[in-house]
Amino acid sequence: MIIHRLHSENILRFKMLELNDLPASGLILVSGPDESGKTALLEILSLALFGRSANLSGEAVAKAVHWGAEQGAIQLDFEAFDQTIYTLRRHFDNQGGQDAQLKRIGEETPLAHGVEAVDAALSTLLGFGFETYVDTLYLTQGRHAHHARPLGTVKELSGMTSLENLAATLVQERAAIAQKIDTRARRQEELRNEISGLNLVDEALGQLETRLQAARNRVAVAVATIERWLGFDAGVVQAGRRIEAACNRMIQTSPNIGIASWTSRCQQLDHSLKEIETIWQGGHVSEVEIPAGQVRQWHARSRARLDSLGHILFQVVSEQFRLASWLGEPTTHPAVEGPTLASEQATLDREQKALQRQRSNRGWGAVIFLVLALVGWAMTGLAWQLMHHPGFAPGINALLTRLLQVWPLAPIVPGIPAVLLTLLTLWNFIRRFSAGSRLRQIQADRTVLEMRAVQFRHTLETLRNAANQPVREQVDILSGMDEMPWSEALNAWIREEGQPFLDADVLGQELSELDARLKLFQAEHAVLREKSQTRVRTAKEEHASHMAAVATLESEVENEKSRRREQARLLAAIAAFETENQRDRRAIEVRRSAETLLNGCGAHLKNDFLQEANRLVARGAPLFTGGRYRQPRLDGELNLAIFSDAKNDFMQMEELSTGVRRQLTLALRLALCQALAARTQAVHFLALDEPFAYFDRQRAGAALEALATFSDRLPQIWITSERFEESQTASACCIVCSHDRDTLTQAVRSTP
Amino acid sequence: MPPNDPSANDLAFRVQNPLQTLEVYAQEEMQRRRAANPSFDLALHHEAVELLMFRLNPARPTVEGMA
Repeated sequence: MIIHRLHSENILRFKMLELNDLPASGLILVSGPDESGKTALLEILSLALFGRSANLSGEAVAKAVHWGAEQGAIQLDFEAFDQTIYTLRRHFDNQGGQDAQLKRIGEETPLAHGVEAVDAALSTLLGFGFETYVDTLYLTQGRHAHHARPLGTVKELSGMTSLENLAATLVQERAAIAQKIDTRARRQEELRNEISGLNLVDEALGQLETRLQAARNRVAVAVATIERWLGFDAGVVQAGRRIEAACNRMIQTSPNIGIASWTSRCQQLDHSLKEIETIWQGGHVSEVEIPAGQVRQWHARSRARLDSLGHILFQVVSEQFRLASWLGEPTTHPAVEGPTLASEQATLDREQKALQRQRSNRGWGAVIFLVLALVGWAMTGLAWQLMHHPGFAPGINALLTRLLQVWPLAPIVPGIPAVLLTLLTLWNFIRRFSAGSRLRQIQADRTVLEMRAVQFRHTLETLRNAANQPVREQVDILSGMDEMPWSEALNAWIREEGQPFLDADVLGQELSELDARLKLFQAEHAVLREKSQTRVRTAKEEHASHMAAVATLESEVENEKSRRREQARLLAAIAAFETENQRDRRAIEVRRSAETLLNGCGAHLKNDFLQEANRLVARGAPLFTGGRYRQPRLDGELNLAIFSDAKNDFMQMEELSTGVRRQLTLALRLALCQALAARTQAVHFLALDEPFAYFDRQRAGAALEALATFSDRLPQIWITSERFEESQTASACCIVCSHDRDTLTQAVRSTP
Repeated sequence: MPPNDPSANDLAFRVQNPLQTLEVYAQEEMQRRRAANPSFDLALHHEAVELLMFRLNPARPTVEGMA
């Protein structure tokens, strides 16, 4: 950064300061007596750049305003590293307030406005801050006194600061990560304690589920039992009603009902009794006796009587069907196999016709055979006549004679057919007579058959009439029929079993007994229902108990599962923490390793920097010390030792005179300034306030001469001194201050 | 400073670039440590270097999660 122009108004001791056309390179010598404003001029430079100076900072900046004025201002034109000229304006008031503005020269729009914004922009443009400025480019008189060792600036310039800042950051991060790990470790321990507090047993869930399944099975059994007993009870009620209805219907029986009604009532009762027995068997209620035992006994007895009559009536019906079938009447039952009236009559008809045809044929046969027999006999007699009367037919006789010679029995041959025909005639006569006899027999059989048909029709009509009668009349009719298939059995039934069906008094006694047994059944039925209902209640109570147990076990199972889920969640959380801890432990290791690298690299940088500083101090020190000292040695703490030719030994700063110390310090400062120029990659002005205060004239002159060409990176060097030799000011720009003037307006290029 | 050092008359102050210096130093350090300890955790070293490179030069690409 090179200063081109400096204006101020009401700043420090100057009401007005105007330095125009400042040279970009070379010495700018500011001379004047004490308190004439030399130091103030360099302070104004510092105030312009940083809003503070080595002597004025914080609230004391208010003192920068000229005494008696309320506010002051500084305008500084400078050239930055980008070879652009900027204008910096700062305003100060006597209350310590500041304002600032930065813009490129020739532009109206400021680059930054406000103190903070301008400071930030300047930090970028300059590449250094106030502390570095004071440690390098701006030598104040106070710095001479303190012999400060600019360790911070050395670190900044060597590049160590960024490494150290990063190392510090890594240390903080490592501590924060370690704290996180500790926090997680404590949390993991808490979670483990929570898991221990759960007191989980591996087999507990399985046992609970087994118990739950058993309880559910008991519930299912109880439900089945309830349903079974409810069904049993409903069936018992239904069957009981049906038994009562059947018994009442039976009790209302009179002797005037028919066998079908008897059978229907008996079957109704039978069905109701079988129903309740079926219910009893289906209910598997072995602990309860089959109800209606008394009714059942009565029914069995009554049924046996009715079955006996039924067997008899079956015979009656069978006979009835047999007769109807024989007579050829239509029936609802299949026809009885065997001959019928029609078939027998047809048989007789066929036989009669066959016999009549046979009789006719035999008659004609007898006649024919008779005629033929007579012819045969006639021929036999003619043959006999011819043999015994040769003259009757000599030719035939001779022929017969030869025949007889050959076959002696020839004369009897004609008689044989005659005999046979005669026998056939007799046989036909015999057969014709026999057919006539059989025809007469058939006629007699037909008469008998017609008589049987009349009888059977009468019997059938009687049986049909009886079937529609009450049992008593039916039995009377059937028993009155003689020589029937059922007669013997029916008479036995009447004697032994049939009285209740035939005698109204006996029937009344039987029905009274049934009524009594019905009442007994009703009592049994009530007891049975009470038992079934008791069992239903008991089963329901058991069901409720089992359901409660199931609910309890389900709750316990769910609770156990919930606890296991909680355990899993806690274990997952512990694992997650462990994963994070491993990652963070790795991060700590990485940062520790990085810190080691940073520390090592920092030492490396510092060592390199010190070597460079030593090299440049070694170049500057002889210039300022007149060659009496050389080979400076800077240690890590910037303690400087230098070889003295006079002493022939290295000497520490404390062993040197104040003048030499200042000369060496100036050499070190110049080295740092070059480092700054190298680090910022820019050229800079240098402001030295009274640098030669302890220099003798010769050494000051030599130093000033050396400074003028010391480094092309520090082309513009401001130096204050009470006075300069004319030889020194000949080739430099001079600014002369006077303590009797508070206005300094000068175009420094027009140096006198 | 040796008298025959050719850099003795060099007026410029040679400053080191911290990032480049760190890279070179880290490489040398890795070789030194590997030579001294064959079981040296090379991955850890690389992670540390990547972290430093990223922190010192955030624009530089780095491995995921290193920040």
